[in-house]
Amino acid sequence: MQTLTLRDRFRLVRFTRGLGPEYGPVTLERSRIFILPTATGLLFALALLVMLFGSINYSNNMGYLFTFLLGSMALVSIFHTYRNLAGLEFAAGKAAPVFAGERAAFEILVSNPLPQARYAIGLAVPGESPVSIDLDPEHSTRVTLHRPALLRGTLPLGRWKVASSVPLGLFRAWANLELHQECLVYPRPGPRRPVPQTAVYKPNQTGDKGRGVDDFACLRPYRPGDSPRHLFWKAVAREQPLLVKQFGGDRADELWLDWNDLDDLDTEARLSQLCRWILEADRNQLRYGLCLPGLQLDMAGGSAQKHRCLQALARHQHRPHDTR
Amino acid sequence: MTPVETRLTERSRLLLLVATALVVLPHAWHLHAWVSAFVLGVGLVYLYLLRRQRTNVPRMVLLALVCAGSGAVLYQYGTLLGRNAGVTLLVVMLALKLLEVKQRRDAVMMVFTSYFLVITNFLFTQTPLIAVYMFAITILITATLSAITHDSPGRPVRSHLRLAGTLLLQALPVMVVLFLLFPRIVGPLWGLPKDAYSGMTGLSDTMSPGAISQLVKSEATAFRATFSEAAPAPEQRYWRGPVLWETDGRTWTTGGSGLQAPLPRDRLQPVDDRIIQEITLEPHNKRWLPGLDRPVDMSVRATQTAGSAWRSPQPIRKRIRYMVASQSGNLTGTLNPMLKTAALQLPDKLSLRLQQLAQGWRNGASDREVIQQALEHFHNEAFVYTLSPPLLGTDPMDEFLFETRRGFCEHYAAAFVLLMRSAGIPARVVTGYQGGEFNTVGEYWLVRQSDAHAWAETWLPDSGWERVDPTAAVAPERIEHALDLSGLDAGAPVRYRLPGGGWLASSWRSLRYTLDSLNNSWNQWVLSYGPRQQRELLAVLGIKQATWKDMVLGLLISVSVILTGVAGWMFLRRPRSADPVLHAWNTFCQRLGRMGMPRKPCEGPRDYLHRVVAFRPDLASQVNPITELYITLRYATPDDTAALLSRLKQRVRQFTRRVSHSKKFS
Repeated sequence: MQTLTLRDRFRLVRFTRGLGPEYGPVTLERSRIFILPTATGLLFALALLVMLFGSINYSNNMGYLFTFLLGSMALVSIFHTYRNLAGLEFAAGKAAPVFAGERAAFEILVSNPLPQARYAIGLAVPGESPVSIDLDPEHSTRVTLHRPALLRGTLPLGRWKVASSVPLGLFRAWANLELHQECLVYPRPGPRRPVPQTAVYKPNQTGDKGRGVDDFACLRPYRPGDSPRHLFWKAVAREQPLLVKQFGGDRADELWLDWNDLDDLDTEARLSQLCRWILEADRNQLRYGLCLPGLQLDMAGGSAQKHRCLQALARHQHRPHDTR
Repeated sequence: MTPVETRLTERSRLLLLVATALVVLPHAWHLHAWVSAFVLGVGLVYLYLLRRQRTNVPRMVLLALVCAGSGAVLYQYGTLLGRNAGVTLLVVMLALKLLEVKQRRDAVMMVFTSYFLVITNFLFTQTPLIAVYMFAITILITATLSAITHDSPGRPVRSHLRLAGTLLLQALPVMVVLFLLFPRIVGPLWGLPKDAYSGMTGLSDTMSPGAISQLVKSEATAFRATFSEAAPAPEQRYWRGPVLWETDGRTWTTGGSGLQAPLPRDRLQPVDDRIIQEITLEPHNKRWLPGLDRPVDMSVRATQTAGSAWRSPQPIRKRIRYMVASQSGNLTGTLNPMLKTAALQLPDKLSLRLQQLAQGWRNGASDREVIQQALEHFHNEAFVYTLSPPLLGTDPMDEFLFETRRGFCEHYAAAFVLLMRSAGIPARVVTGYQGGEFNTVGEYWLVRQSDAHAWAETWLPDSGWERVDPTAAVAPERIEHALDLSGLDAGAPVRYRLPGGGWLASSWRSLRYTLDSLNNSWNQWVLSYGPRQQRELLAVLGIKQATWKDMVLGLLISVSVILTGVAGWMFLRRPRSADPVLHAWNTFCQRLGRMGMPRKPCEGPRDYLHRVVAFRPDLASQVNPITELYITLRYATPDDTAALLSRLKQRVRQFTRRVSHSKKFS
């Protein structure tokens, strides 16, 4: 939570864009919330003006009373619109990595610490359709905001808006928010291209052929980390200790995915190609290592290795995006 | 989590329908019957479509309906503008819009139109009852607007209504300030439609047989009067209106312009016991200002005619309040020659029978004896006082006096004056009101159009103009009691409204008095507020010469102050958690937070406790039991919840108080 200096309070940029990313949960207080009439509100004002002129023309006191009642109601509704936003807390949630070209999903944790219900709170990333939520008193919820991930690297959610025009739609209150929140964007997978056969033969304790997925070799006791797909379920059914089916592979089951094998491509295309190979290798349940300029990831397999490698690709010589 | 919805829920459509129906309802009284039928039909079609989950009507059908509606208005009024035509058109279009509502935008337009219809209704009636009704309708319309803006299945309709009620109640203080201080401008800004003042009733400048008996069928209020001292006796409660001099045998008129001029007026002997009364006159679109007979002075700008009636420079189109000084007693002497001529004018054609009757009474008798004989003639012959006299032919007075002998006060007054003039006695017809009903609640006299009356005045050299009421000779009860207008048969004698009756009648009467008294206060305090009252109010507040700028500035300041007050009331009240356990715990955590140990969002109560105690071991004895109590109340299901809760509350209270106390000394 940051306090604003008087000078900051009157900076116009706050009005349009906000003041840049912040850490931690942000509470919407007075200085963050702006409020202006909507198009409906302006139309309402016009209608009131017509009513006022009518009342003056006919010297109709009930007309005056009614016009002033509606005008005062509109003024009071400003407070209600403001109150619908005030005190809400926003915190950054997680954002699962995506591939370039997909839509990044950012989770926002919205909580309502006050004993009053909130209605039609709209959260919107510029250029995306807003998401509307209702919140019961003293409840919180998760909202997912989307933003297209066009380039690999880290994608910040950037500035977004929380707005509401409840109760009457005559005024709209909004706040510009920007939390430190990023989504990792993997390169877009490149075209299918044969994996370079720079296979490395490594003698292995479990057999000549090493470990793999192709041929069943033997049963061995379960070790934490083994894939549940390889569990020997029949043994489980017989209430025996957990056993895992050990498969043997062939010699080509270990491969190096090397940056230098792709001389003919530019950086992004190389990264895309490596990405494709990583996905292929992972799908074929191979063991693989990754060579990038200045970085080498050792031979391994499984989901963790896949993400480690893809992350390395995403972060390769990456300058953070412009947040705006 | 949903994308922003622009379609309307069925509930908000239903609300829209109900609001439309209720906003049109009061218009049914002053619009033509076909409009109500049209709206009802459209409403039923809409309801049917709503039930069928179908909400769109073919475009061509809609277009045809719009053309039919506006065509009907055009046919009815010959125009689409003006008050009645405009309101009818608005009603028709509002109803048709119902069939066309698809999106939120359409519904918002309907809501705004409904607001317009509320305000147009005030062009017709402004009673407190309609004000209360319209306030309720406004709540409903506003609730509809709220439902249009946001509606979800989890949100009860009640919450929209409650919100609208809250909004409007919070708006009331600002409304009052705006009403009182908004600079008032006199008069219309531009021309009003021709029918702006239609529907006002009151005494006319002319009188022909049947005119007053038509007017008395209206129960509408003519004016209300308060006497500063005791009210005069019933037989003295004649309220003077236009005085009629000239007749063609059928119609009586106020006569030439010389008779409307302030001079020569009746000079009255100055007496000490003038009767002062305050009159609140309902608008009647004529220039007459009635007052107790005879009015000698008025507090508003007005001229006194030769007949001692008072005329305002402009037609009375707004309710006005004025003081009247009245006195009895006449000045003797010679009659102004112009008035004498006017008071002896006879129609060109006057039947011989009538002249012979009058001259027969004369026969050497004095003026006073002639008058007496004429009154006795009315009393003794078979004259009937009736509200629905038969129609009269080419020589109405002759027919009335010698054939039908059934008439209302205007027949008797006109016939009497003609007889007097035939006998050579100057006489004139006076129209006005007679009687009135005392409202015991508001302590004022209510005079209705049904109290309208016509009587005669004769000039006698020794006593001047003297009131003679021939009606009293026929039906003396008329002077004592108001007419009973229920169940009138053609030619039947008049019946009177007599006091008394059972408790039902008396409680009905007191209810009526209370309502009318309320109406009167509303008129005096709300409806009659104008530029003059505003100046007086500002003078009371100590502002003598307010310029336009001062007023706007003052208005802005007072509105801001009140809005700040409303905001303070809304936001400064400490929001109470719905859950008392959580409320106590939050108070406790806030207190610790202010001491520099805020609870982290991820931190459970026990972790928090450990951190706090590690940081401030001296607080352990207080923080420990509070946390334990909270954990028990929150996560266990203890039997004695109430006792534990009160203990928790007490401990938290003690903690916050002790800490702030010790803080002062440190």
